[in-house]
Amino acid sequence: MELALKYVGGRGIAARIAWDEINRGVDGFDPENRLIVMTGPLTGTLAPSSGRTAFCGVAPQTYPKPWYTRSNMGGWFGSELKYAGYDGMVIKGKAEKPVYLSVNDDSVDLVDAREIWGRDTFSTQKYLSGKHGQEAKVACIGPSGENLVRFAIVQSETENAAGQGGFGAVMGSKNLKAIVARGTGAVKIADPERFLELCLAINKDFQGSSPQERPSALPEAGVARAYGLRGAACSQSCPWRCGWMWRNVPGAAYPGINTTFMMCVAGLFRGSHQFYNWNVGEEAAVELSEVSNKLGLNHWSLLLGIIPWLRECRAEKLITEVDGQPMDFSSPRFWVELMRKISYREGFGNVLADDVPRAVDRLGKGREVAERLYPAYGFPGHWDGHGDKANPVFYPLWLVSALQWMCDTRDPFSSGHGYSQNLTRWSRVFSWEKLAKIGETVYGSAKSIDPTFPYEYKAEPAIAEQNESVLKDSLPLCDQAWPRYYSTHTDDGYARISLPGQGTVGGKSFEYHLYVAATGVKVSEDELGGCAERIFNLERAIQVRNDNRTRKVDEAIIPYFEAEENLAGPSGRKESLDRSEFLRLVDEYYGLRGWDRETGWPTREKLLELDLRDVEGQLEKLRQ
Amino acid sequence: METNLEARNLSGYSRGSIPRSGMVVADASRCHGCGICELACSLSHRGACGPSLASIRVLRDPLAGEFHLETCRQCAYPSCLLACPFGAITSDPKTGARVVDADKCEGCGACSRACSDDDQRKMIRSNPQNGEYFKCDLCSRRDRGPVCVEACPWGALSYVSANERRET
Repeated sequence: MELALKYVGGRGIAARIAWDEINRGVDGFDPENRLIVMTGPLTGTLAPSSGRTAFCGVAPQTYPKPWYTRSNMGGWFGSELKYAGYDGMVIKGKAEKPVYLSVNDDSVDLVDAREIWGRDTFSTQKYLSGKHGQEAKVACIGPSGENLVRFAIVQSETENAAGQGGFGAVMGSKNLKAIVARGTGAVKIADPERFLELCLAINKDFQGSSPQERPSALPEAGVARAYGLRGAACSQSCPWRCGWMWRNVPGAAYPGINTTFMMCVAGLFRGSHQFYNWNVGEEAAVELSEVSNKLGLNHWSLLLGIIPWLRECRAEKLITEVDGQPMDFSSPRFWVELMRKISYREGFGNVLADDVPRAVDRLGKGREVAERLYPAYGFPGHWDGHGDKANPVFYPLWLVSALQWMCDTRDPFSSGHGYSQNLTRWSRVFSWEKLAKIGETVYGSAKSIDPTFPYEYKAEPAIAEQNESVLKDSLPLCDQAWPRYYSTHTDDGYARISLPGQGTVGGKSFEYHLYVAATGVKVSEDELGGCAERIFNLERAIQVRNDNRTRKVDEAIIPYFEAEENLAGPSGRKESLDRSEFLRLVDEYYGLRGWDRETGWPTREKLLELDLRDVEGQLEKLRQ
Repeated sequence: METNLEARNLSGYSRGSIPRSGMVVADASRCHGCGICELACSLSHRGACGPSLASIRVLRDPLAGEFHLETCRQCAYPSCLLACPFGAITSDPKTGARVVDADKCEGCGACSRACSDDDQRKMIRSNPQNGEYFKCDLCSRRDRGPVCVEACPWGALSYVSANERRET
């Protein structure tokens, strides 16, 4: 219970377990590595888009060396684990033979998995639901995880995945094929009436129109209708539809029919984007997405990292073929072959299976291309105006992204979209004046959003979104849907709800009220915010103790942002980072964080203030 | 096997005298499979979130890309009500919903077996925590009507009253 009060759940509790159990020098594939699978207090509840699970541990994808980081996925798996009566699990060691873990209410068993080792993720799930019932939920790995591909995912159903970090390969290294959960219990709510009213009101605020006016799940006509395309929630308890279920779509590369959910970055397989223009068509896009899901490869690493890197290397004549085949991205068959080679580590696929930064080291070429696409830690760009061209964010708004990247252990946009996507991109139906006002409410100053003040007031939103990211991953709540800052239902554009007889709650406080109503924990909003700050500092302390993290490591992201931005902003000019101005911003950031400006380490005062006395004890020894 | 249900029913109904009920109707073309209806139902009735405590069911087969909503039909000739040997199932005076009186329920499960042979489609089930049988009561005690209808973000659920149902 003390863990829950101090570290909330999910990513927070995982960080504490990691601090206590993962020592310096543990590699991703070391049996000593821990795979920490955690739900949070809101998983399995009616809280909007709360059906999520965190996967944490030393991640084989991080570069130059594997270190502790996190990933998470939506879906139904975490909820089922909660219904079985578990908040999470810590998996250590390594099984002698392939096994899967079965969690069925009170019984927990390691079961021989030799029969399914080698199978793809869909076939694995079919086998397990045949054995454990249709209602059992599965998190599993495909051949990529088994073959220790560094960006192998943990997959659930057709498209829910803990993608970044390569936790699928961590499962593979432990000979753990799958985790099956089946639970008949429920999550008890401390204040059911208030919680219900909160959820109903927040869900209503999520929607632009009344439920009766909302679109049908089925498209009107055309190719999509023919393939039984259906809008669907990707996660339990989510009022949105970020994805579409494609059913019985004929293959383009190979005969057969494909059924898969497609959301988020999977749409890029189509190649009908300005920058990602291989145009393989709708049928092939579904097939390629499904092949990737079945093999257990991370869409993001593939589509925003490896493929752009290969295409640019081809353009610069650095790499022109894959094992004797020309690189033809307009051929669905080439794609399938490439993914298969990576997943099974065949030929050139064996090089790519370690992801681009390590491939560059091995091949001794393509480094400059990689530096344009990969900001840091081995992850390709994401909402930062540079490497990732799929998500437009222009100067100076990406300065906040740069600060978020600077002090993270991975691509921060598993849960850091609040500023760059959610607020400054999606809510642009509003005027900048209105947005500036929201910026003042949520970050403390209108300058945080105003593009005319580039290097002013950018550390505050970066810190706010990092802490919000921790909270979202710990409660947990979906990063696409949260935070709820803007609304189409209020005059000033700031989200707020009114509860019968209980007053008004502002969008910034939704998470807090959900947490308190669900758990009954007596805590103030500031104290819950303090938990998020504590968790972020604890993760930093893990970095300092286990991985020699310093300000120098942080500053390694600067050259990436010194390059010209992808798309010109309102000024019409393509801007880039000003190093001296940015270094001043970094000082400001450390100051606000309570971190030492020289080393980038949390100070003694900060750690004591956050009630991390034992952590401070260990850092104190390192300081000497 | 049950040849003369009326004679054995203790609720005081004979076949012809059971009042009609309203029901919650699902529109499959609007359902997005999120399960919000299930969790709102269990939360509202039992103070906990979990599909195993819900009286509306989302049946999912994700690998086939399918999901399907099951609501209680509140049958005109309700097998569950007629099967109960203790008279624990009655018709709610406000909505007509066939409701379980927990005080009278002995947990024998005759109602559930009468509803459906298919476990996934049973609309009257036992609470795994205490063995009590429960089913959709159309939120008869709730001023704003069935909570699932209010909670569905997509307008996939609607409430049809006993009178409206009689007319169609």
